[in-house]
Amino acid sequence: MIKRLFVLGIDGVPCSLVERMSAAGYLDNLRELCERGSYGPMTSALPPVSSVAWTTYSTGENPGSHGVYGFLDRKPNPFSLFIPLSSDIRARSLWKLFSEREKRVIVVNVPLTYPPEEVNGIVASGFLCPDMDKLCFPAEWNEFFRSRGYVIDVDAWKWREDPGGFYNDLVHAMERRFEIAFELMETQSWDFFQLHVMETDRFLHFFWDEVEREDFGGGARFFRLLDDFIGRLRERLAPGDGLVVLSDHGFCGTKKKVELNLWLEQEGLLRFDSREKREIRFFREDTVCYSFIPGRIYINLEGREERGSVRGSDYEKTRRSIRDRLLDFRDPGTGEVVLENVFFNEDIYEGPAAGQGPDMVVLPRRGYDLKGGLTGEVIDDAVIGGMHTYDDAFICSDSFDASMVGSIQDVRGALLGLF
Amino acid sequence: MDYLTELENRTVYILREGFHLYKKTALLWSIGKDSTTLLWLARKAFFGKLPFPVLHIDTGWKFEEIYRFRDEWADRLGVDLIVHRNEDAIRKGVGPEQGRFECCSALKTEALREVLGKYDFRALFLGIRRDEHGIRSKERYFSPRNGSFAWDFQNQPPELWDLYLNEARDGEHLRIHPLLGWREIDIWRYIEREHIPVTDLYFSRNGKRYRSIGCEPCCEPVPSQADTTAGIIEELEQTRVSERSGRAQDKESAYMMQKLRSLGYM
Repeated sequence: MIKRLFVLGIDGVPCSLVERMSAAGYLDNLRELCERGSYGPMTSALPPVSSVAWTTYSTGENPGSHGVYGFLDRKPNPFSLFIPLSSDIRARSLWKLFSEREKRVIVVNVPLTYPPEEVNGIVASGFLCPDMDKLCFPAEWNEFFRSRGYVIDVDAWKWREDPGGFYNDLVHAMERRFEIAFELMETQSWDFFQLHVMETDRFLHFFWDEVEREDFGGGARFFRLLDDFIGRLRERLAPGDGLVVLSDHGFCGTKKKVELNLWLEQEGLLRFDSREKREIRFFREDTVCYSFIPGRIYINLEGREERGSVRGSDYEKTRRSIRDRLLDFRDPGTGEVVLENVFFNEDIYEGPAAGQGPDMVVLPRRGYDLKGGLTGEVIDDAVIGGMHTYDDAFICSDSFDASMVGSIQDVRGALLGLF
Repeated sequence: MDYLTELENRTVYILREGFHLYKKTALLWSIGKDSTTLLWLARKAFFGKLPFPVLHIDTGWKFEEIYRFRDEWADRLGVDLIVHRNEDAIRKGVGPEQGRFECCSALKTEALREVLGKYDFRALFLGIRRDEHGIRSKERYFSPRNGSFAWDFQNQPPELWDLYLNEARDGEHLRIHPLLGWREIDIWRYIEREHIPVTDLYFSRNGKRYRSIGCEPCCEPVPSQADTTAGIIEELEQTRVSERSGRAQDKESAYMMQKLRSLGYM
């Protein structure tokens, strides 16, 4: 049993990268934690994006139960798009559970914690929060975070105009997060503290090329800085405190971006009226299926969708035929197979929210980044250098055998065993 | 001395020093209120006759009003106007629908690179301000960019009083920011004092006005009743919303959509 638990989220950092950088001497503090405790790779959630993965972590449930399938979702009838928020999560979060057990929690910057949930302690929400005045529960803490220069999230548009400035923003935002957490650790009483670093994910998206270099390029400086903060964090923990460091998905370089909706259109499965705007919500009635990022496919099912046209009796046949065609999808440039696997809803989701999920989820081969746009080419050069992977997420701990954790959904169970 | 005059003096000083050092310079004019104010100050600095050209990077996506205003006032102020477009990209139909990254990169960054190469400018005067945007608080009055336009923000010496970094190495160009210390409200107070012309987009129409302008598809008006310069100043004295919030849209979900688009998640 431990006295207090600190969880540090380092969004998107792959286990294999931790190993490579540790070996090269850039992550001494993290390496020591891994060596004294334990560590290992684990799988993410499906699809492997941060809102789904962190909700899976915090609820210990699969999306079929917690109801979060991506950054964007749809209501089928009447058809409308929405962005899932913390209020859409249909299961109890870890911090809510600890609160009910009268533990005092502090949760800073975790994805999908906006609007901030009512807890016994403090929640400062993360990157979808639009306004510093709506950052915290309790709202009295907004001023504290403002006065300490808390950055909700960096502005990724800047990367294009000014990569150096964008890098500087990342460093600044990360530095503010840790300094604020250090101050709260000292001045507040807490039993459970979760600090989330989003900047690692942003760094890997936009500067993946750097970490692929043998000397890690600008990644060396960035990750060494992260590691220094991990060292300072460890100094601030008391004997008997537990520390867990984890990421929510892996990362790899992007070879090509794949507009899955354009592919569906090319296959005659997604159709538009030439007089209408080319937007997903205006697809033509005889559409068979459409897709949301990354790789979620929804059948235009009669009785469920607003303009449903696929009959219930054809549903199975339709899905199987789409799956076969997806698995045959090749990169015309190289002849390479683009997609690794196609799952049906019931293969991977279970629970009261499963019906709201996609009918199929596609997992691409490494390097093929699945998008949902409706312009350009089906396969084109990638703009953003790094993309998520389902495997190779990272976890280490000094309090339980992290090498035994198989997927991010198991982590909550491991934490609940600690105190 | 009142503080607007102090700001004015500093800007005039930097304009003159910058030109003296580099000669082959140009002023980047977006036709917005800041760069128009800068243009106004440059005319003052050089007694009505600019010794360098004024450069407009035209993406083809600007507001109609911007083009009209540009042509009218370039003429009336008697400036040597260079308009440059990345014709290649425009012909290919590059636009915000293909992603704002690609669009900005081709139509702004690449266009600027082309024109710098064509005229061999050594330094550019830009109307950016420190209070505009988080990262801009790190900007310096004199800010070097390397051949690939990267800004090595960690390798810039501190600027102590007027000891500015002012030597650009070969292949680099220097960005000079004479308005860096101005705030949004200072600009409006100065526009009011000097009667500087600005486009009508800034003034309220049907309860909305643009607080920051650029390309039409990427700008959103903010709710406002201010239809005069004085009205804008009065509103700014009371507001806490950031200037670029209009660009980031005024609704929460629109903000979130933008956020997700910026990351390629939508």
